[in-house]
Amino acid sequence: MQEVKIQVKDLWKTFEPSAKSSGGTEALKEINFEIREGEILCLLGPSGCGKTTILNIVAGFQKPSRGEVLVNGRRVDKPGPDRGVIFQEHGLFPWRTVLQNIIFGPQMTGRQLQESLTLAEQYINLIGLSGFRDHYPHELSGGMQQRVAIARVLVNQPDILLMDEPFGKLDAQTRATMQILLLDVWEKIRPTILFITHDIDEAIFLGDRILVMSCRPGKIFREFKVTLNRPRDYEIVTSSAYLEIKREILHLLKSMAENNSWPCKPVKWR
Amino acid sequence: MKTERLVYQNIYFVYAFSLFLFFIAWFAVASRTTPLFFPSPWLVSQAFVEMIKDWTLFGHIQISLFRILTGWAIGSGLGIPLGLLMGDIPFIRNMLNPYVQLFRFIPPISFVTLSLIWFGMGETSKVVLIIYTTIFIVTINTIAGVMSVNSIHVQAALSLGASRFKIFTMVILPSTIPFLLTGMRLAMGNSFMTIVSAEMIAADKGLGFLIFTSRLFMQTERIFVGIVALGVLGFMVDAVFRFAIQKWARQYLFFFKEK
Repeated sequence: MQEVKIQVKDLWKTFEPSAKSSGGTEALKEINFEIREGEILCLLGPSGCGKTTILNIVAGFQKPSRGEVLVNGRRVDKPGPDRGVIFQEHGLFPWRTVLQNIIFGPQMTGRQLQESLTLAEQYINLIGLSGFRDHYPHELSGGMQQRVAIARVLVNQPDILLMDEPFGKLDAQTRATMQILLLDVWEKIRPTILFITHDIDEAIFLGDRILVMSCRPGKIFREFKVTLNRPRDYEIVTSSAYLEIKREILHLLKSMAENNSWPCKPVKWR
Repeated sequence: MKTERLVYQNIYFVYAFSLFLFFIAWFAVASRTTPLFFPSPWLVSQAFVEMIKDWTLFGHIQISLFRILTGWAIGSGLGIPLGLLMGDIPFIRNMLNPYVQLFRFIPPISFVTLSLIWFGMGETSKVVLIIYTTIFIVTINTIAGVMSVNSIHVQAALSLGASRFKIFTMVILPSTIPFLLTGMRLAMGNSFMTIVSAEMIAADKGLGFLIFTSRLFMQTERIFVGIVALGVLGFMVDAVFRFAIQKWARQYLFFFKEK
């Protein structure tokens, strides 16, 4: 058993009352989970259930109201290059070319230019971006932009990737390609991944474990272990083991829907 | 199928045609009045040639342009850092915003006489007025640029290891560039307004002076020369500025294509 990489301990998050809602909104309640080294953990939940808030807290962008996140046993208090974040929007700097975007991280962490370029070259090849290094982000398709975003994070050699619905805006074909690419990369460098999605198939295809969330307040409802063999290819989605897990999850979601905990209710109904 | 480019689809032809119509209209209006009231293009071009020959027009253009460019450059040089600081640091923004919001409604022209009292009849008083004209427009646009930085870019940079200072120089500054360039272009236009009014009141050279004194000698055609020179000059300065942006700051304008 590998050692625990990320520990989320008794996490609560209440948003301050705003003009829209009277009283604070309880976004997260009693979130507890662990991610072991080299594991892919998928957080599956409907929009608005607080899964992005969890990622933001692990990344260090937001502070929890209660509880803490430990990465390698150390408490998270700010963002850092040890936890690479990939957003739903690619977040590339539009004034920088692909290559310039990728060397941003090494530049920030004080590497020499020559060393940065060598590293960048390595990841450009790994992610399949050669031939695009001098393009600007707006000249690329959505899938290619997300590839650059992944390469930009990997070049910092983080041992943790935090991915917030990174393929959510891509078309089905591209999404499938990107999922396979991600698993390929994972096989090669074995990062620990926290992957957030609302897509059941994506969660099963990628994950070692899936945490299903309910909402308002966001809580972890159940954990599923995905015991499918690795390396996985896309044919796996027709296997009986895959369908079995999918059936279980769908069943759970159906019962959650009956209890009004999936999808998220609006704060005020009327 | 053969696609034919019709003559009226050629943009240069349209420009030329438009100009042709404009001169026809000008001739038509001029022929119905006296030259003193509305000189014909012919008279204006004669005056123009005359003023080119004795170098007076060039002198006026040179001094006006010098005042505008100096004031504009200094004003932008002050306005950009001011806007960056105000946009990035709430304390500075809250300290200075009331003044910026108040002074931007006071037209530079209203300071012409004060500027003369404080800075004398020389170049300083005019340059100061242009600085005043430029600084608020550039500052306000720069603040808007800083405030509209994409928060995902900041988060991405933070998690890629950027320090607070690096975020400022490597993320906030580049994403502000389109805004501050827009501010500078707007300020250039306003500088032309200011310089003419300042030169009308207190100068012995410059396009504003030319327009104002020609009135005293009933040289309406020279007023026209001055007016046309202002328009052409403004157009040319803006064209040079746009060319420079395309040449050196092109990648920052991709910002707008993102959305």
